Amino acid sequence: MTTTTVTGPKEQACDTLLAAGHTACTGCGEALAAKLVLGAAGRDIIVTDATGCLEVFTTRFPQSSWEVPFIHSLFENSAAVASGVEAALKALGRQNEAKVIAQGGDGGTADIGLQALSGMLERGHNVLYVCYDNEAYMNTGVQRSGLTPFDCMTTTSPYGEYSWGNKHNKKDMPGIAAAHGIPYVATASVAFPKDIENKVKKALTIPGPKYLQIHSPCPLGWRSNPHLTIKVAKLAIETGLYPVFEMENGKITKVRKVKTPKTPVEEYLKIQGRFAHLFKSPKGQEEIQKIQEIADRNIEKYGLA
Amino acid sequence: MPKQLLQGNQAIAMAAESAGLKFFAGYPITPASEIIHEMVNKRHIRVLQMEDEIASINAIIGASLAGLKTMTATSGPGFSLMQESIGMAHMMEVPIVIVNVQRVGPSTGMPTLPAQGDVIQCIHGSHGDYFPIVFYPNSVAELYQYTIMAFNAAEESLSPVILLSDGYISHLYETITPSGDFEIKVRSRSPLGSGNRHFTGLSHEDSLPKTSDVDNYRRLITRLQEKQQSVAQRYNYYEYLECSKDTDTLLISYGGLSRAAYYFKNDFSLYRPIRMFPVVEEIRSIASRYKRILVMEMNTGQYAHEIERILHRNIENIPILGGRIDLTEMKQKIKQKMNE
Repeated sequence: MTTTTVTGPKEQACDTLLAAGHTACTGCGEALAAKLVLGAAGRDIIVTDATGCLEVFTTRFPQSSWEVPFIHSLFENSAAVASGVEAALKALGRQNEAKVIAQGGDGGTADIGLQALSGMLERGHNVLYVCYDNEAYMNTGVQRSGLTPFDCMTTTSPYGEYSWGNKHNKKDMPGIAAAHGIPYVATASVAFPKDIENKVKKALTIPGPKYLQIHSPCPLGWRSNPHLTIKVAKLAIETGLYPVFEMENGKITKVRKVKTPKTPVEEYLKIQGRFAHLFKSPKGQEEIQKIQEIADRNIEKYGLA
Repeated sequence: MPKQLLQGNQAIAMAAESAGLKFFAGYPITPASEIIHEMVNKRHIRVLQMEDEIASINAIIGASLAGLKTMTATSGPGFSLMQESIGMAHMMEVPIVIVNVQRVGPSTGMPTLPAQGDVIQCIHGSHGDYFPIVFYPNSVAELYQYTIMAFNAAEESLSPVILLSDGYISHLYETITPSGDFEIKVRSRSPLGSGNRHFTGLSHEDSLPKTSDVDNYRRLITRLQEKQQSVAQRYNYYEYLECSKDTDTLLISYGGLSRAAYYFKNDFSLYRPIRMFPVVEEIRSIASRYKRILVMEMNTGQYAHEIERILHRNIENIPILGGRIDLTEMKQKIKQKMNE
């Protein structure tokens, strides 16, 4: 029987496992997040990736930024392909040679890919699923997704006479993942790189399915200044709009606290064009108040204060 | 109406509204997304952005049964996901319109250059036998016109009608005069109410399941086939340009590519199917006047095989693959074929 090497090339081709020269936009949060995930995971991984911005900007013909084995699946099936990879490694008796990481954006995770993800979590595959959450379908032209926040303006949730933007609340994906009874669920943000690295490293030591959701600002879709990516990401946390926490075996074990006094949500909203309509008329204040209530509920629910 | 500069996808959305569309469900995909972008800004059309294309087609099936004219729009990958439900809609006789703006496949292919690779999938993508009506226009004005035709044919045939487009014509901007002159067919079915009505994808008689009666199944399929054929005959649309010079060659092309084929109108006679399926009968008599038939298409010969099957004669195909429409290359390929 012939064997092939599962792990990546041993020679150091570049400094990071996500090589420079990809075509992400200036200030892209997702590019930064992916680089951190790969760096923390190390070379001995096999990566699957749903169609989306990350796949597009890292695989521009005739090059690839991926210094590890990489499978670009379709839009809906990253978790299912990863399930197969992991099961095959086990069948080959090679499960100790490489860890499997499945990736998707928020649309590929919470909408079209939810069924495949649920199956993967339920069957208990030893896979780390990473959702890069930039809160809309950026690759196809900024359409809303299940993780788009309330009142956010996108091309399919426009602001106008009859609409304040996205009518629906952000789907509680970490809660849905945790409801499968998996051992590790966490959220993170590009605002805190070390935290992402620690969570990836920790997750990869835990057997079974893991879910990590990383808040990744998108200057193009959020209409924010590219040099403010980290500031925007920080404000999402400080206002309580993006709770950062760890959940082990269904219980929250660690949270990133918000400062007292808490930062009003306006501070976060006003530096992003996707919320600019809320500041155009006095009625917008009522909408901002609704968003403040979402933040307040988060602070209470996750014990962020 | 005054003249307007419209993108192909905008023309589809505008025509759908004039045809009486009241419910749209879809999922983002290039090069079809502009259609949903247009729809969300229309006050009198209910729009649901669904979680994927399987949900999108099933939402329009549900809304159609509930009593509205409905449509979805997608590209190849989404069209593939819809296939099982397209079969269901044929079996249940649900009038819906599906727009497929084709891009290079299989799989993610070459995002998002134009292609014509979904031609056969339109008629054989779902399992079992079904007989869809498929239109494929080649200009912004025609996208407008045949979107309305698609809605009318759907109501007349009580079936899913497919409007093919491609990344080329859907993203083309042309000046058109959106016409209000088209006849709009009224809603064919009464909406669901409180009465006892049953819809099923199972083999059925008078809409109630009948799954072990072989003769009944045969009657059902024959009835569906004959119905589709007879409705299709009211939409015998094609374009035939007889060459002014004496020629023994007929060049067949359609959709975006046929725009480039007009360049050869002084060398060959040209034929362009607009109602792609069921194949227009007139092709038999037109083809009989020519010794050679060339089919030029942006796939490896999908329509060529279909024409060959129908005419029982040898057809030569010229594949134009990979999303590039280049006259120099086309000329050279035709020349090469003619010298063979």
